Amino acid sequence: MNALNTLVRHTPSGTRDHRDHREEPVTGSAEHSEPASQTQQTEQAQSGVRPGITARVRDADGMAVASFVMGLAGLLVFNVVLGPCALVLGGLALMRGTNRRGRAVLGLSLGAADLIVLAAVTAADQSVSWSITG
Amino acid sequence: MIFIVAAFLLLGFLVGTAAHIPLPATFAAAAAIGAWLLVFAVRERRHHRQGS
Repeated sequence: MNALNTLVRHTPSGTRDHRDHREEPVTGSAEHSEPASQTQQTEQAQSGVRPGITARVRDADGMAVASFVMGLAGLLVFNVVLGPCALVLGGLALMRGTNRRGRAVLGLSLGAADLIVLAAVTAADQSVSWSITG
Repeated sequence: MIFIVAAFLLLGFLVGTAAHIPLPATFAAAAAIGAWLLVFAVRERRHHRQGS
């Protein structure tokens, strides 16, 4: 494959055709995700000075804010859905080196608090579902 | 009929805390959470306007 690439390198359409042909048996989701990331990377390369790092950190900042909002809303409604979402997003933001560490840690702890609050309220009511009868 | 009851119980599980605590407490908590979110949104917007 390498030899073929060097042979046809002066015609970019040839390599692209070859790459497409190689990707054809891949399943739909993977094939979808790869061109999306490629276009994102070229977009970043055009816009910023240090493109990859800045955009990645900005993504992480958005994740931290999303984790905080989800954790806060999840205290009252949809604990089972929003709590784990806040946990995952907060951890992901910290792992990707966000600038807003405080917001990410707050979202992480709010996500944990969602599940703790739900467990406490369920234990107090002795029931998993509605108990507004009294 | 049993299907409707099961769906109702599942909804109660999905809603979570609001289905367990009394209604006035739910309203109070919703007001507090909404106020915090509003303050956060206003600060965020102001900060973004200053930054750019």
